Amino acid sequence: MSAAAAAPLVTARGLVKRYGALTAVAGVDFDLAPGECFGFLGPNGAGKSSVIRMVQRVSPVTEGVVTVCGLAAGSGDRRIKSLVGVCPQEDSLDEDLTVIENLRIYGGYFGLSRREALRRGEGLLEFFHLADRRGANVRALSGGMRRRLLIARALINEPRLLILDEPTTGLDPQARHVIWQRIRELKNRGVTALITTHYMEEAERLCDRVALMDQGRILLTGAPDELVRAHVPGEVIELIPGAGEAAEAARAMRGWGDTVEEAGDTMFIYTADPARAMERLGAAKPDRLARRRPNLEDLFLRMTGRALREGA
Amino acid sequence: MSPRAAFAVWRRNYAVFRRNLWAAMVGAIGEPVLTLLIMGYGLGTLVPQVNGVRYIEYLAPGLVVVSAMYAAAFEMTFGAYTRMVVARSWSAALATPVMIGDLVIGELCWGAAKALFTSAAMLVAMALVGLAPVGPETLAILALGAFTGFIFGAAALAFSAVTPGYEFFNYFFVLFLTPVYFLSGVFFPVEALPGPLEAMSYATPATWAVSLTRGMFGQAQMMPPALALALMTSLAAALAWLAITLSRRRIVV
Repeated sequence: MSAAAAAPLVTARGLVKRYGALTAVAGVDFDLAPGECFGFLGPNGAGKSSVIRMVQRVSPVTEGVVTVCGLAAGSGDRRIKSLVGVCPQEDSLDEDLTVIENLRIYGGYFGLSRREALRRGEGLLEFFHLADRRGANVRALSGGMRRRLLIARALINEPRLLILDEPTTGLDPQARHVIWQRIRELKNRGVTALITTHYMEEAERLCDRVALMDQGRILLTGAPDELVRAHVPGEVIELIPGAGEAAEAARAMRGWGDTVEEAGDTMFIYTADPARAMERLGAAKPDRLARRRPNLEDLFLRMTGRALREGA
Repeated sequence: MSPRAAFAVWRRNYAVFRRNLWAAMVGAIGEPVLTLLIMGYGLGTLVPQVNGVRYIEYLAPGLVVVSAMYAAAFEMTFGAYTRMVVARSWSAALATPVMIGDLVIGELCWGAAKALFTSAAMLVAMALVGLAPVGPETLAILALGAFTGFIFGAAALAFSAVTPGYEFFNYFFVLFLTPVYFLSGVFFPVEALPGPLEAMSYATPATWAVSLTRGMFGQAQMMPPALALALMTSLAAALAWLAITLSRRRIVV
């Protein structure tokens, strides 16, 4: 690897964001290598979007340092913004314009000529399977199509860094898979991406490394499978006891060496010896029970003591 | 400030405008032309002459100015506020090399363009019935219309940047723009007003623009043109600064 390739594309040190009395980001550090897909994972309100907004230079840094492509925040803002493509969490497509006009006008913001913006725009519509919607009004698009157009728009400047802020939130499973597939394809082409998500599955599928965030801090950083293996070894038994069964199951597992977590109506038993745990549950086994390999969600639960699915 | 980025913002608004050209045309000149005809011919029978010209001729220059003023004010309240807060056009643009200063200047130039468009439509309508000059003065009148639009657009955008919602635009229109409309020497000579109101009239930017425009129409001006122009220029700079500052405070957090 050459020295240039090894230099991080994004560096953050001691990054803090406060809105009045509220501290949204309480000091985070991370590096993003070129070609890497890095995910910020955490519940709503964890501070993911605030970090991203500071990286993309639309939000002033309260404390700390962030650089993008070696450029420091402040005087480098305009240049940084020209190198970054952003798919925002909140849909900001122009509903007064058609699909292709959205790309053309947005290209204009990057100083692209009309011709060049249209040339790139046509290619992006092709890539995102939107070419047949070229002249349609944005209002006529489905949720999945709108999100694809939003990502296409973020690529009009051929960015060095692609930022995807919750790229599939609110989409149905099918639309989500189409977007994942497109993002993986971009990854294969060497795009460097920063993704925020509160879907563990999304992070596991897309990200080389993730940072688990909660309450404005990064709890852990690393490759998803390595993190899970290191912090949640063994297997998980997940049970949803019916009425009256909960107390019974809890009694059965009392004094069990490994961790038992309860989140809402669900009990998680983390164990290296699932067979023995099942035995111990004995008659207390509810109908709704699953044995599975641990995932990022379990890791998150272990780290914060609360389930991500419950929200912040 | 990057003129190219500001122009890209302007061009976005122009692209949308072009799609709805006819609606914009009716909106731009419908009311002022009606005002001109009804007030001019109706009231004109009671008021045969003002300052040596027919009443309808007296009305014409001022109506060009106030229609430019309203065109920009509407665009920079309802239009710009929608783009700023509701439609997220601003947040889309700010994720690109467009900075808040470029964005606001682009918007203000768009407000000026709407004012220019309205002034042009008014002048054509007036020229058809022989009420407006056709010649080099026409260009000067158009430039004044755009300049007036820039000033009132900047005031409107500064207000939009602090307003919590659409209902609050009533404050801007009823408490600010309507008094300006009536005090700006469009309908009657401002000397007719009682002392304090006359003083207020000379303090409103519309009066300065009306005075200059009257000159272009070959009528008596209410104040020296150099003074009017200097006042307009200073106010334009101050209001543009205010609009940028307040917009930054609201948007860049």
